[in-house]
Formats: sequence, C-alpha cells, structure tokens
Amino acid sequence: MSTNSENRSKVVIVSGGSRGLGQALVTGCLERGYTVATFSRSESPFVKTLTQQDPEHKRFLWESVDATDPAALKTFVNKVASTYGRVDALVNNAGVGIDGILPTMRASQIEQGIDLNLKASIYLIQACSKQMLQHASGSIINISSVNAIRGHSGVAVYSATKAALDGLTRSLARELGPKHIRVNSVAPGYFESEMVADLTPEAKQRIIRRTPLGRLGTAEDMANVVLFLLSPQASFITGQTIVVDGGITC
Amino acid sequence: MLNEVPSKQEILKLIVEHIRQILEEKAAHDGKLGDIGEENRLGAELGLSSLDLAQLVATLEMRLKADPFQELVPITSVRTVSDLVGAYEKFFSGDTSDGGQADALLESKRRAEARRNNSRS
Ligand SMILES: NC(=O)c1ccc[n+]([C@@H]2O[C@H](COP(=O)([O-])OP(=O)(O)OC[C@H]3O[C@@H](n4cnc5c(N)ncnc54)[C@H](OP(=O)(O)O)[C@@H]3O)[C@@H](O)[C@H]2O)c1
Repeated sequence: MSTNSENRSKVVIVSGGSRGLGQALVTGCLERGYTVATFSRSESPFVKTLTQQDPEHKRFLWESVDATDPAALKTFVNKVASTYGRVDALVNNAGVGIDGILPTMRASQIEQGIDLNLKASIYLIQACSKQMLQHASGSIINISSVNAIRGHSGVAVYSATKAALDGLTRSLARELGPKHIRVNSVAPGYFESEMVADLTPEAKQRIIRRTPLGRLGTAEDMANVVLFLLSPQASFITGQTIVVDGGITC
Repeated sequence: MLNEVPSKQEILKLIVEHIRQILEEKAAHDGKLGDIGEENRLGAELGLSSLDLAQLVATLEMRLKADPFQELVPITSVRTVSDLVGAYEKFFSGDTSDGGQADALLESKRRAEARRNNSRS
C-alpha cells in the first residue's frame, strides 16, 4: 500500500473528536504524526486549545458539523480533501446512547439514534471511500459496542445500530478490499465518558465484578486498539470486530 | 482540473486515460493494453468491475467537479465508454429534464429482458 511507505503525514478524519473517546483518538493520532480533521456540534475546551495551537490548520482542523445532516458531512469531507489533498483514514466515532425500553420509547429518540449512530457513519464512509478510491488505499474503523455482541435490556435500538455497523464493516471489507481499503470495527466495553456519566456507582460496581480484568475501561484502552488498526502493523486485518472489554463478553 | 465546461473530446480523453490507469494498476492485462474506443463495453470487453467503475467515477468527480450519478443518471445504465461520456455531457448540458427517469426506465427494461432470457435458458 503506497501510503505506508510514504513519509508524509496521513490524513485521518475522526467524527465526534471533541471529548470522550474522540478526544483520546485525536490526541493519539496527533502524537503519532497524523494530520487530524474532526467535527462535533459544539466546540469543547479541548478543541479550542488545539485550534489555538495550530491556527493555520497545518495538522489539525475542527469544524462544527451536525452529523445527522448528510450534505454537511459531504461538505466537511470535501473540505478536508481540498485542504490536505487526500483522506487516508476515517474513524466513525460519534455516537449517542439510546437508553430506554423499546415499548415506551419515543419515535423521535429512535430516529435521532439511528440517524447519528448508523446513517451518519454510512454517509461518512460513502464520502471518504470516494477519496480513498482515488489512491486505492485507506482504512475505515467503526466504533461499535459490546451491546452489538450480547443482549442487554434497555439498549435494544442502540444495540441494533451497533450490530448494523458490524455488518457494514464485514460487507464493506469485501467490497473495498480489492482497492486496498481496510474496514474494521472496535467494540468497546464500558469506559468512562459523558455517555456513561449517568451510571450509578452500584451499576459500575456490577460491571467491574463481571469483568475478568476487574476494572472499567478507559478511552485510552479503546484508542490504542484503533491506533493499531490504523497503523501499517494491521495491514492484513480487515472485516473484523475487535472487542475491547476486559473480557466481559467472553 | 478543467476550468470551463469540457468538450466531448476532453471528457473522452480523460475517461480513457483513467480507465487505462485503473487497468494498469490491476494488472488485469498481460503486456500492453489495446486501444480503448467509445464503443467498448466497460465490463465485458475492458474488464472493469463495478468497484473499478466507482474508482473511475470518484476520480472524475475530483477532476471534473461533476457527479452525474447522484441524481441525473443511474450508474447501472452505463455499459459502454460512450454511455459514460454521455452521462458527463448530460451533466454539463444542464439537461435535467427527466431526472434520469428515461435512463432508469431503459435500465429496468434491460433487466426485465435479461430475466426473461435467463428464465428461457
Ligand atoms: N462510553 C462507553 O462506555 C461506550 C461503550 C461502548 C461504545 N461506545 C461508543 O464509543 C463512541 C464514543 O463514545 P463516547 O463515550 O466517547 O461519547 P461522548 O463522550 O458522548 O462523545 C460523543 C462525541 O460525538 C459528538 N457528537 C454527538 N452527537 C453528534 C452529532 N449529532 N453530530 C456531530 N457530533 C456529534 C459529541 O460532540 P457534540 O455533542 O458537541 O456534538 C462528542 O464529540 C460512540 O460511538 C459510542 O457509542 C461508548
């Protein structure tokens, strides 16, 4: 793959890079010398600091984008491509928890969850894969969840969106593989972030008790695996879902 | 990138150039590639897969700043080099009169015919 041997900074798009796992991913990618383009709806202190450090966007670009707007996603990807000349990798990280039992869930919550967790990922892949096809190389990583692998009450719609991402991963790996574009999923177990801020201390203890490795994950635990999948060390891995959960699903 | 509305000849030249490049990358042909003409069928004769065609369209979108396949012309109606050139000509002519419906209709007729032929054999 041409990108591995070249000595230039790879261009990585991370959706939802303003906090949580997205923040850990942006930090890890910048540390490894990648050029990072990311978006979220609102600017976080983390994003503000990075923009101040790199006002000319030499290696970091953030924009306010609502991922549930397909046209805005396409415009963002085109801007990244025209600013940096290409797109080498995409991490579909932006996602939202969709909590509540299905029988009483509001239709608007179902729609919003599917629009962000599933449709936005599909449209981002569509726009980025067009860029990747031009150079016949690339890497796409979808952030799934352990909820895609095991059943859990109260997260059925969320589970459906994440399992859909894993299906997307496998079929796209076959579809795009001949052009050297790898597609993988990372399925995190629970890790500390705003998404799980509402978990009660008891619920957290229960998760820890059921986890063979005896602790909750961290965003860095997840980011490390994503960074590995982006790297040339993973150049023969495609179509896989890698579970990073301290063993809770084993 | 071309600045003005490209002529048919410019579109054809660009398409042929990129088809050649994609086929060379694939190393699908031993030795030298023959001439590529307007009448050539993309799949059956030139050996382009649907993914190769997607690669071609992605590259042309970048070069021509045009994607006739989002709305105007169904990609499945493109069989020959000439069909492809025609799609871009249509895009640049601003002819959106039928929103690609005539092509879609033609395509659905072709599919129906293929199904009939298959069921006969
Ligand atoms: N935390 C966990 O335990 C856990 C477990 C398994 C899987 N995951 C998955 O890991 C990924 C990251 O989760 P996290 O916990 O880091 O989430 P988080 O802390 O809530 O961060 C979500 C990020 O996505 C952005 N975002 C949300 N809605 C958006 C929208 N409509 N348009 C654009 N950006 C949007 C947020 O910024 P704005 O709000 O400003 O838009 C933020 O940058 C998600 O896909 C999640 O499903 C998390």
